[in-house]
Amino acid sequence: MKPLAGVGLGWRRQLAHRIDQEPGLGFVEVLAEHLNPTAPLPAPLLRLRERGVPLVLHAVSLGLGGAEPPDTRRLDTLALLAKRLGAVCVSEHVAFVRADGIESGHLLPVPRGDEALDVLAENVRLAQAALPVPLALENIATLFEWPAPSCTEAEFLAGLLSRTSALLLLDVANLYANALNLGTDAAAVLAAVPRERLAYVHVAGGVRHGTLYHDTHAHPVPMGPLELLEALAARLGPVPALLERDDHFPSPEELAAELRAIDAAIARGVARREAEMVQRPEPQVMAARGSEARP
Amino acid sequence: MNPLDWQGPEFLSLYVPLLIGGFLVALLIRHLLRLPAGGPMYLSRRTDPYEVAALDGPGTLMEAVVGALIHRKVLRLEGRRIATGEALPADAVSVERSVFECAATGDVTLEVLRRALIHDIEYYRRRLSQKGLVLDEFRARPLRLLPSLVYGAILLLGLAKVFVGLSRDRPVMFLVLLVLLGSLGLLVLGRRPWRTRLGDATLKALREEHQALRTTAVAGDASQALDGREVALAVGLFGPAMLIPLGYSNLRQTLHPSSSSSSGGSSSGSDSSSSCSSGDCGSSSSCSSGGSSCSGGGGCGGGGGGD
Repeated sequence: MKPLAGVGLGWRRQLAHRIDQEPGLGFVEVLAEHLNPTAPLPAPLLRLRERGVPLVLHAVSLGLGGAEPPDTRRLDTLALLAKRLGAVCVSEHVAFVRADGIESGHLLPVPRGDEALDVLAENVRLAQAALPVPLALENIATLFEWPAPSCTEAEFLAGLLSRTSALLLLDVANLYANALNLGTDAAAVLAAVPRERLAYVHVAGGVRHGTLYHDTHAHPVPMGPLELLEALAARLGPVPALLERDDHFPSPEELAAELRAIDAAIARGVARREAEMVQRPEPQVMAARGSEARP
Repeated sequence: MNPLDWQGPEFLSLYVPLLIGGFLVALLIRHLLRLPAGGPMYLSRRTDPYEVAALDGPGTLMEAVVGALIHRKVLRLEGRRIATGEALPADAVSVERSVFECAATGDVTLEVLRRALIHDIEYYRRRLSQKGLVLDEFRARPLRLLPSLVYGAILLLGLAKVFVGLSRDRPVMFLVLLVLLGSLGLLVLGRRPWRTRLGDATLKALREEHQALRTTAVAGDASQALDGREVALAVGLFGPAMLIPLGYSNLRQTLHPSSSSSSGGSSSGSDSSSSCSSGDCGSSSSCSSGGSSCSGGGGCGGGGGGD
């Protein structure tokens, strides 16, 4: 997959003009469920494709975490849309959305255990075989956990990556929400992310209601997700990150400020990384310096 | 072989196709005379939205200005009345000042605005005329006259036959109705054309260039995602009907008090397209958005979760 870079924005019809007018966007993510597979692609998306803007096809309804294998018709539709868009990859959630024909209407968490990992890995392999481009898997936000998980979120994610060849779409807003609502160790998850498997990062806004944080995609991005993004960039270097906004679309100025904030968080992280590297040179740099010093 | 001496059915078998063909020829002459023609003129992406709106027609210009000022809260709706709101920005252009002053002094309808903005409309017409996009009065006159003369001559032939028939005590009712119906064509041909063919091509190219703006404008819930200039551009390019999905349907009713139920475009002066459309009116509604159908699944994440 051609690596993504820079700061991107999720394509919504309400943001089509903003995206069209923004030459600095690194990439754009398109929701598969917003496209009619039998109709022509919306003209603004065709234009982005012609301009060479990297497009990612993002899906919410495959249900990779379900006990049943992913629906072949949904996979065919995703494959068709990915081809028509010229998408660089397809992303989907580590979640289940239906069981026995009943749709949940939500992204529900997968029980964290070996059995679920086995099913998930098999479903991911089926999806990868049907898709013409790489598949990236996204961590979700949830308000509850299944009882007695046998591993942490970080271990579960690492296990998933080791059992499949899929890429990772790390949602730092979801990570932030889980840390607040469930006490997830966000730092451990960040530490488990291998750079070569990271496709891109999601950033989104949310709001706190009482004791719970809701990842709404309809409010400004709080500092929490940006701090996690900064920490990720401090560990891995520059990472491609994308802002998701699904409702209460902000003014052009507010949107531009959010994109700049994401860019700034990455820049801060990269600066921290470089500062740490200067203070504590990497082993190979040390070795090279050592050999230069020898007569 | 004088056609006026022909029997009624023989004459009608000639006259009906002649009347229809004559009207089409007159339309063709009118189209060909809307010069200059040619490929679309390049207008920069930062083009003046009011100039674009004026290219669609004076009515579109007026609604674009009012829509943009309402969006920027410089004007506001008080029931069915447009009132002034926040202070007019220092960088407001002349036509915005004129509309603001109009709103400050009384009721604002399109008819009132048309009188109040006569100099601003003339300013934009002259600017566009200098670019060859809009017809000036000198070029517009023969364009109305010549096709009308061609078509009028055919109507006169029918009228002459009516008199001949009357003088010979023949039934002429059908021919009278035909001539009366055909006279409506003169109203069409007598309208003042607004754009040149170059103006048509340029407006069409601008609409294609800004399809993303149209997608956003008709998406609903997108008003805040656009600034005042973009609202004006959306109205200017795709017609005043854009104000409805942008959340200003009450404004349309206020500006058009006599036709409050109407939601289509209103006031383009062109032959080939009206303000309600992109490209040719009738082929697409201003409130449809290409293939961008939204079908479920949009609300990603759930129960406080997210994707």
